[in-house]
Amino acid sequence: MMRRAWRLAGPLVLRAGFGVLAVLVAASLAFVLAWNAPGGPVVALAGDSVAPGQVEEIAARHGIDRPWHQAWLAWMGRLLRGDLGMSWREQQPVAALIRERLPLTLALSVSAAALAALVGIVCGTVVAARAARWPVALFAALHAVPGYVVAQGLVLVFALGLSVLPVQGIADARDPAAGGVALLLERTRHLVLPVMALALHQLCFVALLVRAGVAGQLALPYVTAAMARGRSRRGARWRHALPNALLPVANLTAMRVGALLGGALVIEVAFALPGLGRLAVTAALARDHPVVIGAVVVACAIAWMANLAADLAAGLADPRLRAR
Amino acid sequence: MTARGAAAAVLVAFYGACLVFGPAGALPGHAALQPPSIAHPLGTDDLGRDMLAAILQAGRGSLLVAAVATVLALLLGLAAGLAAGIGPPLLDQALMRLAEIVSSLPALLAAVLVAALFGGSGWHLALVLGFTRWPMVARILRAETQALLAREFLRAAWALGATPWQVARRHLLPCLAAPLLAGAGIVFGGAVLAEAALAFVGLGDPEAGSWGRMIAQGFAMLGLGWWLWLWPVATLVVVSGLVAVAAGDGSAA
Repeated sequence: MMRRAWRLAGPLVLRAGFGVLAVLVAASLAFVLAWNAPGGPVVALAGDSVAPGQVEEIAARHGIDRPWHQAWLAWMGRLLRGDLGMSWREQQPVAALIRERLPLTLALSVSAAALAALVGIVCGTVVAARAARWPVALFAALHAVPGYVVAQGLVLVFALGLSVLPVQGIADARDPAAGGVALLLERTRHLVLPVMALALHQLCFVALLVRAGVAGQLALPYVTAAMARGRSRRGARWRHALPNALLPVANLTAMRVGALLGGALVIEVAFALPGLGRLAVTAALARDHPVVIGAVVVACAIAWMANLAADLAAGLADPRLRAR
Repeated sequence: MTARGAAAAVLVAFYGACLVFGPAGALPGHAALQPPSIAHPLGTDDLGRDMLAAILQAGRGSLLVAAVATVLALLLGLAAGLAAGIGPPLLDQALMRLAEIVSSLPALLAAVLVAALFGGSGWHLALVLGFTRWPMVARILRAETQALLAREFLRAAWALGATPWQVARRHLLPCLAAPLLAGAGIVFGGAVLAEAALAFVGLGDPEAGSWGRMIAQGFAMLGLGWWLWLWPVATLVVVSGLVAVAAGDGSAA
């Protein structure tokens, strides 16, 4: 019983441990980069005119009067205990700052990924049976349009042209919602355009992959056999070809979570949304290194959790992987 | 194949045009914000510069950054892919795990942070993109190498006593040109888009022109003239589309 459980869970445990290692490596890279950047909290906080001894005092307070390897060890020790440290600028724990910003980024990315997956799979499957080449060209062309240009186009049409949706931000400054349903509605209204802008690129990617996959499956004998048993063409496409085409799509999509977070960063800037990406950018410009490293740790952890979830889902969905 | 060749030729010609006609010259302030005309086919911007010249000048920097990033990613990916394909299983495992770690990093976030910390020089961006995009190339080449190693002519080469270095250089490299080119196209297209995205966010090189920054500024001045926004957008989209076609459309395959 124990051995059987290990055979099923073992690889996943190994991968999870490996993910922790990857996050630590990324965090260390971010630490080294930040440590060697010109400027720093002393310059940023003290400014041009400082009292005697103030520079030393600031450096000692933030622990940057030590050599970098000592600071790195102390910082890694705290990270392993789950402590991301204090922000130099905001005088708040980094974890609190991130907790404040993360929900928006997650809402944006998860909605965009879900929208892209649903619409992309449907579009790809519908198009797979057609011989025409134009849908492929259309998806490939839209795939080449960067997210922020899509964002600008959407703003032009829906916000400036039709005035049905807000241009930017996450709350209505003139009439902030009090709470409950009104708040939810307001947030949703503000997120419609960012989600669409972020989703389009991913949607085209999924649609192209699904189309290629389903078209490939449709050529295989088991589909012909299913139709010989009386399945309709559409039934064969959706019930037989699509499930077999979906597995590689799920894997490739999970591998693009990092890219999706990067896209979310640009969309956050384009729509002036207070998310994790903008937190990282403003912190890096202000030389607030603990916040920068904290954001990197969280982003990498999310990317790895998505990978792990994809592995788990693939294991559950694919009998061949389960048997191994 | 012909479509790929044509797209590549157009790209090369475009880059040539960027190099030859790039310098935007002085700022004739009296000709600001003119719509497209014979003298200025794409109009002029708010400082009176010819939009066509500005776009070509921006293209020089953007395409050079992308090219450097691509060469770096190809060299790293080629070395790692060949080593993983030919080398012992332990090396293979180690390299592929490393590739997995690197490709899970959000590359754009890394580029943004480096730009914010060290300044938005094109060289920084090229380095970051090169060091984060090689795993894709390495994965393609490793798969291709392993498929090739099972073929008879390579088993014959081993049997005749060829060293791994000879096998890699004389027998594998010529066969790897096609997948290498496909990988180059994907990396190049991604790098062009990443450079533009960074400039759009406001973290690009402030001294070099960039389509991304022209798009951001043009959108803010859209009320003054549509040509300020539309031409940079069209250029970026067409160039990245052409790169995708020239690369054999890696995303559709």
